[in-house]
Amino acid sequence: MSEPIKIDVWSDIACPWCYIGKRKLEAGIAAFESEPDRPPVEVEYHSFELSPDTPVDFEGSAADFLSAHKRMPLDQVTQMLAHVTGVAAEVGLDYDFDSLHQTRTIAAHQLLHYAKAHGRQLDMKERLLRAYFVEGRHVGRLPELADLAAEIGLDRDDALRSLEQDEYLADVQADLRQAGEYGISGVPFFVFDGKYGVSGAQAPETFHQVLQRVTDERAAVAS
Amino acid sequence: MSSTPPPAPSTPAPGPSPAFEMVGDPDAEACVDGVCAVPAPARRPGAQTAPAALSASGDPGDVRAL
Repeated sequence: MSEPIKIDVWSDIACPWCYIGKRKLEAGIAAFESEPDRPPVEVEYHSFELSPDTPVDFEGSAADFLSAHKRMPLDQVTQMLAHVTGVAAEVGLDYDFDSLHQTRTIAAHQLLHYAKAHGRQLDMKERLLRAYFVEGRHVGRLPELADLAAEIGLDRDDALRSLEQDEYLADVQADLRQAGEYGISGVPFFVFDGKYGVSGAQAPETFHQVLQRVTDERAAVAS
Repeated sequence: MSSTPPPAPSTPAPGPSPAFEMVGDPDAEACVDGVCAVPAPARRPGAQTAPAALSASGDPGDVRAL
């Protein structure tokens, strides 16, 4: 079996384009893997905090956050929320900004590392994004995060213990430091086989083309 | 190599060199600096843009939300 193509993704939970980009990446990978003689593709998510100054218990809506906390005009905020909601719908995501709980995401990132250590990172990432953007769940409070961990089959008590002890805080900080060293200031950001960088919620065809390019280069080296 | 990434206890770095070749639409929508309302995603300083074959897709980089 050929060596997997590795895709490292820097991403935040509170990042609408990250969830949309995840769907587009998945579509690109699916198209690639549907072709004959393709190597497997391995995806690993890395932590990125877009807004570390966000309070865990911000009181207000997403629109309130952007207009007050980030000082953006409310009419511009309304337009933007409508725009991103429409784009999300195009990839099958039903964003609900009215019920969204704006919060700091560093604990959620620690949970992603906990899940990775238990072989469930991709499931946890999907669960957290859906909880945040679609279901209006609070992804900043530790008990609610532990609930979400349990919902994908992880041990709730152990997940809560891990979060309370900041067991994976150093791993989150290492991801953030790595992003800084790479000059990544926006997410989603994708790195293919450590060689190619892709920024933003690109079309599935773009991800497919990069996978094809990596495959072609491997074949050229092997021949 | 121009730099060595710091150790990551359980998160291997994607590569020893930050010299990625950037591919895809440079204006694809992303979230930058805390909000998602900037005209284009930030890119690595000095990063290359996409070869023509890889640059024709992606979403337009208009104002984005959240």
